Amino acid sequence: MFDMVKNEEQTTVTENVTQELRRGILILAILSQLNEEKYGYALISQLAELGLEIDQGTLYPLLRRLEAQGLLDSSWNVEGSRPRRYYVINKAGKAIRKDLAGEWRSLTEITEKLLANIK
Amino acid sequence: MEFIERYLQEVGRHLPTNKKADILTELRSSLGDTLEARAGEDIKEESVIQVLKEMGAPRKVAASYYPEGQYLIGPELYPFFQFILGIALAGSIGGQLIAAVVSLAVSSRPLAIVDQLGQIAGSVPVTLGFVVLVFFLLQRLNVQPRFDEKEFDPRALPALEKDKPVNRAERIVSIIMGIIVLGFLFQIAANGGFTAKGGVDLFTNPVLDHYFPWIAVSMVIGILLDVILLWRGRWEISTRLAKIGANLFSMFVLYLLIQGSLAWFDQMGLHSFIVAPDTLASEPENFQLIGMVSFQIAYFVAFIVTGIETLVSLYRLIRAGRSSNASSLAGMALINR
Repeated sequence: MFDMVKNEEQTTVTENVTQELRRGILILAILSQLNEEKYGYALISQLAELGLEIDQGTLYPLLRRLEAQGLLDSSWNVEGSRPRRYYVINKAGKAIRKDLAGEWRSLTEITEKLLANIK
Repeated sequence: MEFIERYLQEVGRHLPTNKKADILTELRSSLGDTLEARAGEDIKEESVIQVLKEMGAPRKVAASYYPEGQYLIGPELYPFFQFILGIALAGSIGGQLIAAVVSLAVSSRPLAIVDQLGQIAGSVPVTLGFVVLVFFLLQRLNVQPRFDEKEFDPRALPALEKDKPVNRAERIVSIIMGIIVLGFLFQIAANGGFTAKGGVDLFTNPVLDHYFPWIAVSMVIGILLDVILLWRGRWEISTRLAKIGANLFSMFVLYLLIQGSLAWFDQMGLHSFIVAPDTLASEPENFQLIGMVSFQIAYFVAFIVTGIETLVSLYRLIRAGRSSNASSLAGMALINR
């Protein structure tokens, strides 16, 4: 019984920390896929194909935030079956992405060293 | 598809007005894309429900469009709000108490004190509401306080606090009791003495009447000091000194009352306020004498209690000074290691 409770707690902690880790890389993930104009659902599908699941309720507010921060440009396209808002990375966004990518590579290298002796 | 519109309507209720239409169009489009990808042309109710569930509760989705959070008064402004509110409340209550002392000392209307206390009680929510409104507007206008960008210097950190926390419940009770006693004294001053139910005069207290402004000032100082202590939350050297000063002033007022009463007893042909029980027994109608004796005993008790309290405050002040010096020495020893 005690072990079961302990396992449940452990799972919850693992889930929470995993969520935090994933949240930390979402911005870099989005910036990495917006070299060309894409609308929200297309971006969700592309990220899912590459193994990163992101829900709509998380993606759209994040896209707005990145646009408000001046890293993305957006425009409405009303030519298809329904109006779609397309997002693309701009010059400032590319500069930030470069810095973030460098930071990420450095962090993964350090983390790999730290985890070298852990099975 | 009615579910989608109902869902979007609910999300829209919690979105910022200027971006609402744009965000809802994008969400509608995205939901349509998702459903189309999953169910094709034949969209069933179950599919819609499932997609909306995955999207999340409307309020939660809308809240995610406020990355800075939704606040009446945000965390950046809140410390300033607390500071300004403290000043506003202390100023409002303190100012009105002083105004009450001045106006009621000259007023002969018996119920004036009730009006004054009602006004003071009513001013608290008004002041609170006004300060909240001002800060709410600042929040809406996105006014952010600018902090001094000077480089952090650990040497500039405030000295270790060795002050004791204030017992808040004790202070609140003291404020309430102070206001009640003050009100009671105002009532006596307004009536020109003690009256029984039905307006029958019991006795007058000429000494209390004579020194009434002094008593009122002493009590208002005590209440104000309690309000400050409640606001500061800690006993500091400045507040301890203020407490000792206030106590000494109270003792001076009590001394005047005692001397005044003794003079009155002399005038009445009694050489001591300790009256033999048979004197009182033989004159049961003499309420004034009983009243004056009771008050004189109360002055003596209050004088002694205040004196003890002052000595305790003085002792704690000296002890706080010593422990402050000791902590400085301990710090020096740590540095010299």
